[in-house]
Amino acid sequence: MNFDSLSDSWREQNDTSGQLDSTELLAKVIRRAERGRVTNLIWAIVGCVASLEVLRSFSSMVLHDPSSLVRIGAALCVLGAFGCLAGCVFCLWPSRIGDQSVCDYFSRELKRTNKILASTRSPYCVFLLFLVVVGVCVIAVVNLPTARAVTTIALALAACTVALWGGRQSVSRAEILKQDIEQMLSDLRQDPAELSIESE
Amino acid sequence: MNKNQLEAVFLELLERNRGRWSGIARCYASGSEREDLLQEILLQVWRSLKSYKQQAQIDTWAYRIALNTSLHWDRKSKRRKEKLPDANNQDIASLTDSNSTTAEAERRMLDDFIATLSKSERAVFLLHLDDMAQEEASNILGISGAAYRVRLHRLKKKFEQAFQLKMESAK
Repeated sequence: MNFDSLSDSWREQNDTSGQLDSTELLAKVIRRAERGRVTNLIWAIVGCVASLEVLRSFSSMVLHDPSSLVRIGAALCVLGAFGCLAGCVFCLWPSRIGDQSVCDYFSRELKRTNKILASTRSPYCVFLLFLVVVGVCVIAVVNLPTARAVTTIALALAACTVALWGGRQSVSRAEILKQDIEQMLSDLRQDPAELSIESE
Repeated sequence: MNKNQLEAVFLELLERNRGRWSGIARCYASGSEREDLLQEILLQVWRSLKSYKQQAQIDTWAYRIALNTSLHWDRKSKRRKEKLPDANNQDIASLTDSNSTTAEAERRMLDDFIATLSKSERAVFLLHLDDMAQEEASNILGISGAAYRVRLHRLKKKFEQAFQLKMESAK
C-alpha cells in the first residue's frame, strides 16, 4: 500500500457503502428536521405557558394582598433568580455547527466551555440558587398550611441538592471537554518548524 | 431558495459527496454509530443549506460542516473509545489470510491505522484520502499550507512505519 495512492481505494470502499438511495435519505433527513422543529415548538409552548402561569399567580397575589411585602419579595427573588439562571443556560447553549474552519470552530467551543466553567464555579450562581430556595421556603411558610409547607421546603431542598450535584457533574464533564479541545487545538496550531524537527 | 430548490441542491450535493461523508463517518465512528453519524452529517448540512452564502465552493462548505459535525460527535460520544477497533488487538495474521481479499485487507489496514491516530491527525489524513488540494485542505482546517504539508509528511512516515511493522509481524 502506497500512502500517495490511497485515495482511489478509499473512495471505492466508501462509495459502495450505504443501502438507501439519495431520495430516501433526503426524505429521512427532512422527517428528522421536522421532528426536531416540532419538539422545539412544544418546548417553547410549554415554557411560555409556564411563564404566563407564574406571572398570573404573581399578579393575583399582589392584587389580592398588596400589603404582603414578604410574599412579593420572595416571589421576586424566585423569579429573578430563575430568570438569571435560565438566561445563563440560554447564552451558553451550543450554537449551530456552521461553515467555519476546524480551528475556528474549536476556538469558539473552547471559549464557550471556559464560560461554562467560570459560571458554574461562580459564587453568584450559588447565590442565585440560594435565593430560589429561600424564596420558595418563604412563599411556602407564608401561604401554605404547615404540613404542605414542610413538604414543599423538603422538595425545594432536594431539588437544590440535585442541582448542586448536577452542577458538579457538569463541571467535571466541562473540564474533560476543555482538555480535549485544548489538545486538539494545540495539535493543529503546533508550529510547523517544530513539527518538521520532530519528524526528522 | 424555496423548498424545492433546496431539495434539488441537497440531492446534487448528496450524489457528489456521499462517499466523502461516509468516509468522514467511518473515521470518527464505528459499527452501528457510523450510520447515525452519517445521518447527523446529512441533517446538519440540510439545516445549514439555507444559510449557504456562496463564499466558498458548495462542496468545500459542506465538507467543513461534515468534518465539524464529526468532531463534535466524537467529543460527545462517551462510548466511542470502547467501540472503535483497537489496532493493537487486531489479528495481524488475518491481513495476509488467503481467504481475505486484497480489498478487505486494505480496508482493514486503513481502519486499523485510523484507529491509532489522534483526532487532528485523522482530519489531516481524511483530507489526504479525499484528495483535497493543499489550499482547500488548509482552509478547512484553518492552518497554513506549510503546516498542513508538514503534518501530512509526518503522517506519511507514521503510515509507512505501521505498514512495515504489520508486514513484518505477518511474515
